[in-house]
This record gives sequence, C-alpha cells and structure tokens, in this order.
Amino acid sequence: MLPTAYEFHWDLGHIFFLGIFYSVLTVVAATLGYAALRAVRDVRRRRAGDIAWHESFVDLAAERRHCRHEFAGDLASCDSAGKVCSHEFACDSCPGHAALAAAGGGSDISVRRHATARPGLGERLFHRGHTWVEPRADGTFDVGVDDLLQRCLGRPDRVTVPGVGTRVQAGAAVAELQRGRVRARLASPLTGTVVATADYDGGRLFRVQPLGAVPRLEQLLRAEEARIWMLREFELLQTRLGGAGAVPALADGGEMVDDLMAACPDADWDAIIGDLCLLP
Amino acid sequence: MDRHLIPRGLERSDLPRFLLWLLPWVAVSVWGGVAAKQLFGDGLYHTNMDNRFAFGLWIILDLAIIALGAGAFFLGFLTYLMRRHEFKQVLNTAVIVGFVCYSGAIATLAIDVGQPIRAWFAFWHANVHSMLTEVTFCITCYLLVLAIEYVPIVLKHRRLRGVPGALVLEFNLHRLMVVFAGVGAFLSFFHQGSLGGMFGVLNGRPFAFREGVGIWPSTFFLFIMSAIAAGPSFIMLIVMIVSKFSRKQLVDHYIYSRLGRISGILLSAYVIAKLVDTLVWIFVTLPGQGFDAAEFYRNELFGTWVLFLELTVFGLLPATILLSRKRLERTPWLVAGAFLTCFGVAFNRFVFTLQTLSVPTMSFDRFMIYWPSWQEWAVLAGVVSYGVILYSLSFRYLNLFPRERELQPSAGRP
Repeated sequence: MLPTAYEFHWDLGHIFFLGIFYSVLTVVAATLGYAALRAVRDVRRRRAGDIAWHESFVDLAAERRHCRHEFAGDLASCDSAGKVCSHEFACDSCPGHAALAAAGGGSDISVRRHATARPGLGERLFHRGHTWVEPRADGTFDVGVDDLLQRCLGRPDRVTVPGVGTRVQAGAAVAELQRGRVRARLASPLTGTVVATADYDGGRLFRVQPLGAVPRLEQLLRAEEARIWMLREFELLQTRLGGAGAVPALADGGEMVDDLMAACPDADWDAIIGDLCLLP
Repeated sequence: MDRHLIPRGLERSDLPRFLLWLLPWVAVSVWGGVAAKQLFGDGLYHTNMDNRFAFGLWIILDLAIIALGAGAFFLGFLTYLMRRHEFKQVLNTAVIVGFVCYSGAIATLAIDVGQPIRAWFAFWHANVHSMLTEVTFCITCYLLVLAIEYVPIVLKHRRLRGVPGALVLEFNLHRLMVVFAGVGAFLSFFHQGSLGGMFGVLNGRPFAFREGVGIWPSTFFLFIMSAIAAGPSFIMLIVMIVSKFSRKQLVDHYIYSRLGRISGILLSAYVIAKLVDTLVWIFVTLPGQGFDAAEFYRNELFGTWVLFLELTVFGLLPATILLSRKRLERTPWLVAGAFLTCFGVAFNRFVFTLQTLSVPTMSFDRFMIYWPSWQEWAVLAGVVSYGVILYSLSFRYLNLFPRERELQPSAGRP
C-alpha cells in the first residue's frame, strides 16, 4: 500500500504499520543487494579462489583438518583446540605456528624445517590436497599430483589443467582428473600465474610463476613432516577401503598397486578422492 | 544414476528406490492439484465452509504448520543471535521445514481466499487495523527471508560449486545471515502473535475473546509462546524420523536432548501462562460479559475434556517429560514429549478455530459442526506431500547435516 491508494490516511496506524513493513522490506532488499555487491567485488578482486577454499575447508571433517604440528607429536603447540586447524592451513597466519617458530622449533619437525628459507631445487613441498610444488632454477615452480593420488586414480581418462596465463589461487581448485565418473578436483598449492602446462608425466600438471618476490610456501609440508602426513593418508585410505568398522592394521609388507581404483572397484571412490583432495 | 549429484561420501538409496518412495507423495500432490484446480476454477462452493464456518480445515492447517515451522526462526535466532553454534547441525533442516511450512501455508491461503487473482488486494488495499493484514504482510516477508536462507544451502551443492561466483555469493549471503535471522525473528514474533491476536479480538465470540496488554489480547502472547515451544520439538521429530527412515545417525545425540530441554522450558512457561489465562477467562472475562464458562463445554464433541487435554496431556505432561534430564537421555521419552508438544499446539489451533465457531453465541444459535469436503482434505494432503517431496529431494541432493558423514560407522574410522 502506498499513499496513492484511496484507503490510505496520514494517521498513526497507517504510518506506523506501513513504516515497519517498508523498513523490513528495505532491510531485506538492502542486505540482499549488499551481499550481491560484495560477491561481485570479490569476484573482481579475484578472491573467488580464497573463498572457495574457505568454503571447502569449513566443510571438511575434523579428521581432515589436523594441525600439522600434531604430525610431529607437538600436540599442545598450535592455538587450535583439539589439534584441529582453524586457520585453513595458512600457517603464516596461525599464532601457534608463529610462537613455535619464535621459540626456535624445539623438537618440532615442521618449524625446524621451515626455519630454513627457500626450498632447494628439486625438493618437493606438499599441499594437504595431494598436490606438490617443486622449485626450479628460473624461479618458477612445477605443480603436480603426488604418488598416492596417482596410484589411486590409475590412468585418468581426462586431465584438465589451466591454460597458460591463468592466475591460480592457493587452495582453490585449478585442475581436474577424471577416471570414469570419479572426478578429482585438485587444489593449487600456491598462488601465481600458469606459465606452461605439462602432459601429466610423473604427475606433473603445470608450471607456475608465483605471485610476489617471496612465494608463500609456509603452509606446505616438507620432507619428514610430509612423510608422516603421507603415512596418515595411507592409514585413511586403508580404513576407507576396508569398509565399515575397519581399522588400520600393522603393515605386513608389500607394495601399493599402480591402479587402486581398478584393484578395488567396489570402493566409494567418489568419496575417497574427495577426501584426499580436500575438495567436496 | 544420480550418484554425481549426491554430496560426496553420503550414502543414499539407489535412484529407483527413491523414486518409488516419491511416487505415492507425487500421486497425493496431484490429487491436491486437481482439487486446487477445481477450487480456482469453480470457486469455494466445493468446500463445506459457509458463513458460520468461514474458517475451516485450511486455517487449522495454516495455524498449525506456521506454529510448527517456528523452529526455523527460533533456531536461527539461537544460532546466529545467541551464538548457540551447536544448533548448526539442524539449522538447514529447520530452514527447509520452515520454508515448506510457510510456502504451504501461503499456497493454502491463496486457495482459501478463493480469488487468487485479487490476492494483491491484501497488500494494496490493506486494512492496517486488522490482525490478518499483519499476518499476511509478515508471512509473505518471512517466506522471502526463508527463501533467501534456503539459497546458500542450494548453492553449496557439489555441482554448483563449479559455477563461477556461486560459492562467492553463498559466502557473502552466509556472512550476512545474522541480519536475515534477526528480521526472521522479528517477523515471526509478530505474525505468530497476530494469529493468536486474531482470535483474541473477536468480541462477538466470547469463547475466543481475551483481554490483554494494550491492543494485544493474551492470545497474542500465548500463540508466540506455544509456537516457540513446539518449533524445536518439531525439528527434533523431523530429524529423528529422517534418521529412522535413512537408518543413519544424522546429528549428535546431545542435540536432541538440548532441543527437548529448550522445548520443555518454553512449554512450561506456556502452560503456566495458559493456566493463568484460562482462570482469568473463566473468572473475570466471561462473567464480565454475562457468560458462564461451562456453557462452552456443554455441547456434543467439545466437552471439558478439551480443556483437560490442552492443559494436562498436551501441556503439563510433555513439559514434565522434557524438563527431566533423566528422561531427556532416553529416546522414547524424548519422542513422546516432543510429539505431545507438537500435537498439543496443533490441537490448540484446532480448538481455537473450530470450537470458537461451533459454540453458539446468541440465544437463538445452536451448536453446529463442520466436516471438510474431499477437496479440502485433498488440498491439505497435497500440502503435506509437497513438504515431504521437497524435503526428500533436499535430503538426497543437499548436505543438510554437516556432521552426517563423520557420524557414520561406514566412514571406516577406528
């Protein structure tokens, strides 16, 4: 109803009631408009990747968000209660991680490792979504898929990588491997611009020129720390493939097959791959 | 066949079985649609409503589902404004149940109005002194709010995640959800109250007429209290039913007992208020108008058992059950308490709608009763079926329960 309607009178009842009604509508419309404007602004500022990673992270089960310091046995070190990361694996923004670094690392593998500066040539740093980066002499980084994920997927039917010149965001999905109906959406381990693509040889996907002079690599796992994490991932895979009630058992030797998906066709690979890649 | 549309890691029945589940509900919806078509085409003469029973089955349905849907605004209020984040486990369900309840109520009202092409009259030629106008404005606005709250749940669908900007919009909507929760609480507070106030101001219907505070009769506050008491219980029952049907634990068990406890506390407050209101009505309001309360309970069908049931079986009993920590830990007691609470609020709306119109008010009046036509039953059944279908689709394709996956033994955890 507007003042143009013939029933309208400029009395307290009409002004009060319609005033509240139009105020509510205004608040709803303004909030909706504000959300839409912010969304447009975020897309223009290329924050979509960050947001996508944030949304994926909050959906992860607690067991997939373990603090890296827990791998090394330094349980009380991180500020996140219950050994669960609350910083989206961005260790450079975590006070607990900074405190450990300031204290010199102590027995903690991750901090001790990160006390060293840039990784050496050929040294692989692992993202928790089973991608890795490998520094090159020209300042670029190769990005690829780790051995565990390669063995899970076997030979993918389709590999989709970002084109040259594409800007990739750490944590955001950048590439996709498809085997049958199972799709592995892969998170970028670092932020930068794609300068070359690879043919999936040895799991290599593309090459990135990182953003800024000093690339943000602190969130990535290295050497001993990565080895412990990978063992955890094997355990997870074992329990997932074992079905209901399965528990990791003592290893009795043997080697992982090259094509787990073909070896265990009845497993819920859609869920397993989603879990490994940290992207729902 | 539709595995790629189901959230990763969630187990759902195979597609043919799911379609078989939907089939009877779709059939009932079609039945409701046929009735609605008749009513839209030919008019309300297909119903058994008349000048005496201007309110019938549909208004009872509307009042009941709007009260039961109060869980949406109340849990939103608790989660976003009171920062009780544990209720995020059931918040998606609360939003969808609320959306189903309010959209179903508005659809039923559109049929009840009889001339849907003139539905806009309620907004453009509004009588601002009418409680019904307030209800119309508030439930329409609140349905809009519920639709906005539903959008982020849909945008998190695994296939939509790949759509550029979908997650960004979801993220920004989610950040501002506190505003929508606040607006929802404000709107719900007033329309739940106005639905009660609508009866309380009926001067010519002494069974319903109540005195109160300012322009608000006591029923205004009683309807709010009963709705927020029943809302959490209804959400709890829905989650329990879904859990039973899907044979999965969907939320942590403590959520049920917390919802039950909240219902118990609010229901206790409601029962006390209802008791005081009834006593004031019997000993002050009615004598002041020259009536005796017993007159309203001398008729066939509506005896004093109605009052007894409302106050004890659907009031004191569930309140006692839901206030006991020991009983809250035991599922049968919890279900019984929640069921009695929900049934009680629906029964209260039934009594206020039907008994108010049935009992004679003039010396030449006689007691009358009304029985709905099949078209009225069909519309009711259609609305219920629509709710089941929408919720079933949402449960299958959207991640309604954030903890569902972690709570499954098949997740293979030690």
